[in-house]
Amino acid sequence: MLAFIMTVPPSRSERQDGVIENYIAKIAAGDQETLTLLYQQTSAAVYGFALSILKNKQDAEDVLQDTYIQIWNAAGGYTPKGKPLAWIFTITRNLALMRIREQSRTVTIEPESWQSLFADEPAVTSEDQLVLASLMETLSDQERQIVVLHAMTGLKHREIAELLNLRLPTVLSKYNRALKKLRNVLKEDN
Amino acid sequence: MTDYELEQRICTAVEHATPDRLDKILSSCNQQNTRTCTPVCKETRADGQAEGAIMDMLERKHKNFRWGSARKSLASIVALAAMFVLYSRGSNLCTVPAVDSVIMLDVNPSLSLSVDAEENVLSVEALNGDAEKVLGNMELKDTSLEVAVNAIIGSMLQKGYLGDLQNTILVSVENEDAAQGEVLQQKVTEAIANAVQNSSLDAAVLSQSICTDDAVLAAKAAEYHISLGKAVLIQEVIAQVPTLTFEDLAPMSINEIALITVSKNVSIATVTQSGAASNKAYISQEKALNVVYNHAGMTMEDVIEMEIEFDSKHGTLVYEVEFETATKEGEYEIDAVTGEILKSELKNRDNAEVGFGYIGAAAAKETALAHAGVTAGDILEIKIELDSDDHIMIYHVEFETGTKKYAYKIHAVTGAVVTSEAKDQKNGTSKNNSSSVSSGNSSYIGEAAAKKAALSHAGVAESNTAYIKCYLEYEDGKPAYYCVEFKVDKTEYEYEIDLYSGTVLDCEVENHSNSEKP
Repeated sequence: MLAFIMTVPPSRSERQDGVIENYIAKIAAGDQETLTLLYQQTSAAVYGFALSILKNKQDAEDVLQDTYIQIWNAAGGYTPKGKPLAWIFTITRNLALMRIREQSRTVTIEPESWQSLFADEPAVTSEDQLVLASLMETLSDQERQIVVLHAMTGLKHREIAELLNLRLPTVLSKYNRALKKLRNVLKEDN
Repeated sequence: MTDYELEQRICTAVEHATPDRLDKILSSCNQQNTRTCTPVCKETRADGQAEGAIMDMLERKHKNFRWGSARKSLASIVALAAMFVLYSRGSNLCTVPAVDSVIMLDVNPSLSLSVDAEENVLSVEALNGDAEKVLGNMELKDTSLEVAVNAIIGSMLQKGYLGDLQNTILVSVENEDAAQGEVLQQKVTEAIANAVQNSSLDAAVLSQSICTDDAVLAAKAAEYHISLGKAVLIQEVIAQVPTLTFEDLAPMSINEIALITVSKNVSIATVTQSGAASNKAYISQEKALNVVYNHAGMTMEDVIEMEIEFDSKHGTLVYEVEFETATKEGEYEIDAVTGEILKSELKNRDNAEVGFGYIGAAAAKETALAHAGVTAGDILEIKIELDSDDHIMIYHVEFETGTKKYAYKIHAVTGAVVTSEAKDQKNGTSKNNSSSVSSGNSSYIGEAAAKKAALSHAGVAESNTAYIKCYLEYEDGKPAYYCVEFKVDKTEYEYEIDLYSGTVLDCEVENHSNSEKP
């Protein structure tokens, strides 16, 4: 398991957007070391978002991999608009939706298997397993995507609404509802 | 546990669960750069060639470039190049025995240079009228490749074929020796970089090595007055985007083709790109969408799904716009330069959905009305939306008759009623059904009593609330409790009320503004 030295912090600043855009420019110039840096800083968010759409560990891992290959290939065409994370997560979303379409149905894992699914991952604690299982079992698809994007990426609700093609009030409502559900479930389990 | 603490737990859990795929990604990126041609022996590559002289990006991306599957003899590739030149233009500039490589440059002007093993220019062939203008009276025979490229690019800049609006150049190299092909690709790209460095041009360069004996493709290239390299590129693009044709792309500039490939996420492993194609000659996506919205009589708010891409319509760059609203779907083509509508199709979503195997909004409506025992004439207002619900496509059908409000979930494929709800508009009581539950339970306390229980617990009068809403919350498809939400000043309340006893099961009081992170 890779040690994540940095993750995209919750409070994202324009400066951080600038850093990511700079990364993309370097990747466009063929710099694999920068691709490595970008991966280290964003892969958890990309994986979380992919998992939240696909609800399938193996598919999410594949989409994680494909996202960075796509970034590598498409970086030359990226137009800096101050929204590099939205660009990255749009790639992830498109790949995930493509996978769903290709499979024509998503292989849904039975709820009780979510906790055990990560049991053999040494880095995943029992509390982590509980949180992951709660995310997958308790929330609707959109609620899960909204919560994961907000928690992992620092994207604002407005940006999430744009990314998911939802209205802002819908995102706010689903976000609040989802957190409440999670809080209840985790409280019960504790 | 605050929202922030909860999100931190989610972050930690996902971070811990994220697999390490970095090595595979890097390996795949490297493999993509080698995919074009089958490997030749690594020993044939001269070590240290062009070290330090080539752009870092090209150095990296070209390290593993190898020549193609059909290892042809020098004679055959030279003959091919010669035949192409001879048959396509009918002139005899190419001295067959001395030609070592053919280098093709395409912008919109397309031309071809034949060079010997010492990289001296043996001949230059203008493949179209624009290229003839670029070459003018220049005498490039016997000059070095670098000097020739510099002169050609300089002329393109001077004559306006290259500039802020069209900044993309395709470099294609034909050479049997893989290593030599790489070197030439890099040298030409470097020569282009040198040629534009004193201008304000931010050039984009696509480069590729080609090895094809496809006579049909060569004939097409000749027919459209483009290089074989551009024809190969087009062939790769249309292989990935079957809706495009050779005829669509051949008349387009390399800049326009590059914009289309990026827009459509086309990835060609054989082509290396530096810089980005310019979109300055074209109206913005926002402007194109405004044209569509105005024509369709809708706003951005109405859009449920939308896709906008660059495309080609008979050689003209267009924005292809596809969208869906709750009731309609549209497909437009907007001239990317003028904003003119070249194609517009607007139809009810019903037809399109049926095409995807869904029953359609009309059938969903019919099912809901039949289930409710309501005729279409009784309906004052109806809303039908197609959405996914846990990966199952569902029609959400909501309608009012004046005395009752109905909410149905209809399975988009089978047409089965998944859930239904009928609410009396006068007293707010409701009946709920679901496919897994028996008919509505009249022993529920009702929404009015649930609201009363929550307000009483909070010590708040309904008249003091900014809003109050009450609805049934489902768990596992069954009604679980009443959820009552209301707000007083800046305080937001959420209650869960038992369906039968009116007991407060849970309550939460929070400031809504805390939901955004600091």
